[in-house]
Amino acid sequence: MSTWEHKALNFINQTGRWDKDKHISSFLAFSISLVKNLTEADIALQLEFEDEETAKVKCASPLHLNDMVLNPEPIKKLLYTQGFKTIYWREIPPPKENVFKEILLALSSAIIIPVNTSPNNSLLILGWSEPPSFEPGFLECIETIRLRLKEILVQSQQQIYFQRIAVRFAAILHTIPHALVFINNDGFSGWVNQEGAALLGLSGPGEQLPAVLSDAMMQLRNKTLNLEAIDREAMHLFSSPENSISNWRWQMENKVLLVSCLPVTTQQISGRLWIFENGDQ
Amino acid sequence: MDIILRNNIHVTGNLESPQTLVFAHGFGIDQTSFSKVIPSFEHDYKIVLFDNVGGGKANIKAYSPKRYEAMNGYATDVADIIQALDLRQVTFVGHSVSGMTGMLTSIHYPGMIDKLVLLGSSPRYLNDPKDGYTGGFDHATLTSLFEAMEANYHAWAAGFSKVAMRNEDRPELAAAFAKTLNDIRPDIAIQVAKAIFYLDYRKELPKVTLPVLVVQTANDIAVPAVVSEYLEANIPNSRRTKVETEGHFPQISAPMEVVAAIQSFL
Repeated sequence: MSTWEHKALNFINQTGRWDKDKHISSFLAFSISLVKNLTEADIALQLEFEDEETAKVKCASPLHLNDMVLNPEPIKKLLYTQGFKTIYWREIPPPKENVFKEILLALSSAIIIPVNTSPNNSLLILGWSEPPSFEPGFLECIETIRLRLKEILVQSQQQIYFQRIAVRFAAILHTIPHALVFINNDGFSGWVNQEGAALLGLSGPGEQLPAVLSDAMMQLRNKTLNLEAIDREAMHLFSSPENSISNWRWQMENKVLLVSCLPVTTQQISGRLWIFENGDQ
Repeated sequence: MDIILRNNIHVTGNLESPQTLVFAHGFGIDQTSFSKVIPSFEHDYKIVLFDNVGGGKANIKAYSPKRYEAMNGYATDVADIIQALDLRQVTFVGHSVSGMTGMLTSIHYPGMIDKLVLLGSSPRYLNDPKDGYTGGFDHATLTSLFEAMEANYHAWAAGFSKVAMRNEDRPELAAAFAKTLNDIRPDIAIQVAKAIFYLDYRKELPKVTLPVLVVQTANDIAVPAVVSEYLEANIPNSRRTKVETEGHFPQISAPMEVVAAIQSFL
């Protein structure tokens, strides 16, 4: 096995063994740093196209290049003329033809690796003051790294996207003044908001096992003063998975709860959403 | 996008002069804030004026929350302007936050700027007790500032314009500042203000290799005197001069003092 094959394999192995307990944002930085070490580059960075006006430097080594803003348009033109393939600059072009002149200062050669992902495309840029050999094995290594980097970028971007969604919806659902309880039909997962956790006497909001939620709901129901009427309604409600109910009065000792129970049916998820709001006495 | 339109660029003065003065305004005002300073340099210098994107008459369509979430986006704009106009022998006069923009441009694009004037600038507005740094603001003050901006931007602008401008004997100055503040879209003003008040470019100061003039303002709500001293102490080739006028906008309240300071440096 050649040195460059070994390095490509090393990159795949090390990024495959990355500690998934660490925050995902460090995965890409770790991977780019690894590419820099394996290729003995003097600089390595990600350039992310954030919008039509912004291409921003990230995960840069050296660090001082981070957060620099470049104009995306001339860079996109260059990528387009090169068919979005890896660009190998054995010699860095003169400043007027070099759209990366501000980040490739005092370097003699560079490689620009386009990595197309959604929502934002990126480039990985490597630069050397002493040019590497650009032998076939080296080029193959770079192309292997490119494929693996795309997987890493997709994984990082997706996870960050989902984390943002989770944070946003949790914030919204915890702010709603009603107690919300969702019980998934899969039997393995359920969720309560802050008010729901307080109403059911649970240790905290968020993910809960359906068995825990069902037990807590039963205890709440057993505290009602109109249990027989509730049971009659419940028999009707659960006779069909499509049935729903709202303004269902649960008479507690010192208050009335107005309860809604709605089926939730989408392609990805099905279950029941319980909504408890305080009603008049 | 056309850079001339994007930044509402105006080139005046001696167009044949090999030397250029680029004036960059700070937050809440525009290029007209230098109108009383410009005449003193028109004979000897090509003069370039522009509006920062998000303010003045810059093209509002060019505003990108991503590009301008920190000063690096504005620094790229300055580099675009200097390259597009093929400017040489550039002295960059940056008021307030634009001083930091000019500084970043000089670091990221070596050779583009020859001299730098920092007029009422600060590398960090937030105090940093850990490092013994006084920026003038603590977290609680900034939180209240942004709460006030978000609650009622126009009411905030009316109040802030007075304390930032000072010169109570000339209320028309604060009124004019309030008007330019009110002309900014509130969501943009709040984003830009946050980017400014939470910036920290202290580590960049030693990287500046140009001759730098630090113009220190007096009784300035945004920049205490110790900040100017900090700039002078940390920028290798810098010297500091004071202007004897109160407030954050000496180019408006005491233009001839600013002219004298710049002339002493050129």
